[in-house]
Amino acid sequence: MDRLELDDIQDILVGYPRFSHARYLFLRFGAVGRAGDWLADMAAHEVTTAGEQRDRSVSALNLALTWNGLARLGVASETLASFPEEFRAGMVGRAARLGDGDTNHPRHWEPDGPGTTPLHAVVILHAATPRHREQRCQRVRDRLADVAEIVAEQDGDRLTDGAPRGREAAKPLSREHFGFLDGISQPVIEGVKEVATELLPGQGVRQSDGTWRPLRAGEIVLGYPDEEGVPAASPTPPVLGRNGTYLVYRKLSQDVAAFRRLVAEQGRHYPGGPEALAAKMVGRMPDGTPLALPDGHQTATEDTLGRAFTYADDLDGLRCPIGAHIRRANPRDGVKARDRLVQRHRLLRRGISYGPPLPDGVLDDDGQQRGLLFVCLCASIARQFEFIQGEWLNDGNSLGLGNDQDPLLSNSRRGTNLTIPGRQPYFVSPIPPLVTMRCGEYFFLPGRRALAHLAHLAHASP
Amino acid sequence: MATVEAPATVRTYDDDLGTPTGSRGGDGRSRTGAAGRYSWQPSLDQEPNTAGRATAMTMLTGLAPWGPPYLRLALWALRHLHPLTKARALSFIHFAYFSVLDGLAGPGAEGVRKGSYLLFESNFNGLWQEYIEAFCQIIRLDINALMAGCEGFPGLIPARAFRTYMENHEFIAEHYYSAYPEGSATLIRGAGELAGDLAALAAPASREDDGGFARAWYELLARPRVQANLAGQACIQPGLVDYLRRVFFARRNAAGTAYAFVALTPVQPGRIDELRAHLRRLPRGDRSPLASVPGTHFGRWVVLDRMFHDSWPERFEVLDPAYLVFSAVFDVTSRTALDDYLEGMVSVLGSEADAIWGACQGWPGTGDRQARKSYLRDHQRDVQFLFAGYPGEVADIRRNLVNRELLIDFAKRAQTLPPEALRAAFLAAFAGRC
Repeated sequence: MDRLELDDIQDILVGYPRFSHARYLFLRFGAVGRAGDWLADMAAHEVTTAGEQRDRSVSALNLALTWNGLARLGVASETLASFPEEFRAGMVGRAARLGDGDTNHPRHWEPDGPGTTPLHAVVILHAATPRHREQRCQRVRDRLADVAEIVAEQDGDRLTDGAPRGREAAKPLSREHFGFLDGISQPVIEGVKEVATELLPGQGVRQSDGTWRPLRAGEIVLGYPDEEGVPAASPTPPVLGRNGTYLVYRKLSQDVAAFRRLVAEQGRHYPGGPEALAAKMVGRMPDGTPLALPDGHQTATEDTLGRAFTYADDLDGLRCPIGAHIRRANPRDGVKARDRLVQRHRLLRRGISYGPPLPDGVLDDDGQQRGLLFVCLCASIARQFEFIQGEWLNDGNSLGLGNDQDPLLSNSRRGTNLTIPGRQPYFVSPIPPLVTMRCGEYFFLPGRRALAHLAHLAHASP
Repeated sequence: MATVEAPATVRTYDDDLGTPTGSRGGDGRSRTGAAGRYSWQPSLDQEPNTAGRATAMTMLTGLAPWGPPYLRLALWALRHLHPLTKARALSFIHFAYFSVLDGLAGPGAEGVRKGSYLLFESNFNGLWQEYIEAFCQIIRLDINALMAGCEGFPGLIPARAFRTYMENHEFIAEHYYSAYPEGSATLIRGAGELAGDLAALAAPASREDDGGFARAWYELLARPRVQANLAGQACIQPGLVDYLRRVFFARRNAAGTAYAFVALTPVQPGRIDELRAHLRRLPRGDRSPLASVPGTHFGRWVVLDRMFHDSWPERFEVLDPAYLVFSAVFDVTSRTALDDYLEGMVSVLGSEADAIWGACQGWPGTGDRQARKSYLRDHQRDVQFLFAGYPGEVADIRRNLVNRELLIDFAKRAQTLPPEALRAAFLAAFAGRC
């Protein structure tokens, strides 16, 4: 296949953000001409690409647009129509398909957040320290004067206390608020040089001879062959789509106190106790060790072991329940009769936590906002993100789990269930909503040349 | 340059439904009305093409000149010889059936022609795009072999061309009914597998022996198959006996105790829109007219008013006359089952039958029940192959689904109860049910 054009692809697409602090600036453009100037300036000088020298940088900037933002920039109606329906509709418009009902209904979202307020773009900053984030943000603000209004801001900060570091020194691992190591497992993408040699079982796509190969780049980046062997549908003209991707943003509030109370209460009856019960819900031990690994495999810090595993010899879920969160989100080769379809539903996750941690042992909510800024990238929002969210997480049927929802992400006020198979099975029930949608939106993350093209269109717009 | 003003403010949504008022679909399909659905929530069931967990697919495609004899042979082989292992293992089809249609009139390049077509109807769970993807990735050989007889079939890889082909040839049902909308093919099979276990528990429960019941319960729960059924899986595949029964006794239109009835009736000129509007207005769910027709698993009405012409230049042709397709899968319990079913249907539907088929040519009108029955019978088209995802009659399936839910509730409560309290709790939960 073609090598990925890293000097055109935005930074967030290739490497997991190497910085521990993030800020999302959600924008609404004013005059279209000024927006064009700004976009040209950003494309030329500010947007970080994956091919840039990364070692000495202290911050990175990525820029994505909503469909409304593209329209605002003067993109022709036939080009706008060439974007997929789900992107045009936006996340609120797709609430039913996503299963965002009940506690996650857009009616309950933050009123001035992405999805519930008109929005044109998002600037995503990543920085090594809060000071660097502030400095970079100020630079952006200065350039935004008279160009766009910042309608919402959201900071994200990795929870790195006690989290081990990965094999690359510049890649800190982090915990999410429930206390589990997060962001461990990502698909290996074809054509990215630095990861091409790391392929281990469970990381890419299983081949008929039992070995694993990288996921085709076109599953994530537009303009390259995907798992069908042809490039995924892309907006026209091709310059707009090439090296771009779709970015999904969901602000998820985590009720840590409720999670701890549930685990403590239900864990009293569970033979393994509360900690084992929590691990069964997640599919990993808090240190990241996958439950799917055969007994005797102990791993805490080696992220290769945290990523490289399969469910082929645990199809009944005796080690890792089929309904466990990480198994639902990526069933790998553990879907009976359908494992060949799994490769069409992969994502690159780029999330980060927000809010302060709840101190250890506290079982009552302290009123602080905390959770996860779930961010993912994919070539087709409908086929990848929406399928995973709607079919695997918010429903159970296609995985053989009946009407049960994901134990961490359920939005049912009546509560959901988790069946833990064993010599005697254990039913965790009812599991109340522990994670709640606060707001969210779909964005298009163009390549740098596409950004310049959009700036040109804005200038030409009457 | 044309611009489109930001429509963010029109992204509204219906209260309580979680149902967007804007466009639906988007699972890769270009037309509206496509009915992929997500989690099982009845409130989301707003599409005419869906009934709870089930989605209707109706596809009509022209056949190559050699297509009719080839397809009849291939469908015969499917009916009698094919083990159907992969399709059953996928477990997302309730019922699917194929009919080779001869003599469907339609205008061609040289005027009215008699064409041959394949009518494919399916009742499946999950998303349309995933269903098509499974055709392309998992049951590729079977689908390739069947579709080879179809005009313009582009092959299955890459799947995008095949998706477009299916979109061009698919029709959205104007009315669709399922007798058990909460059930998926997997859940129904799993619930059926649990039925025998429930009966086995009834014996120790009735012996007034708390210890014996507790032992029976724990033994039952230790079985991996039972655990899988309770979680939502199905495990048992039909065996050799089932296969041999098909080899020797399979019939057209039927599979096990299920019968697929398909009738195509020509619509009177100028009445298509009126008919379509009427069908769309029919009450849904358990208030559907088909809900009162005994033994109906699934039923649909579809208007065929166009035909996609695959050879160059590709185009849609108007079908003149248009056809109303009525198809239903129902229980057969005797040799006269079809007569009984049609008898029940025309009498239960009463004036509704007149409102629907009254828009079709030759409908005998009110009053003469026998003539109306004969009309439907005369317009029946044979189903060369009916795939049934599970055995069982409607009443059994409904009862099994309810019992499975009750058994799960009981299992959850049982894990905090002492053994001696299990029997009483079981009897309370299943009073009069087993």
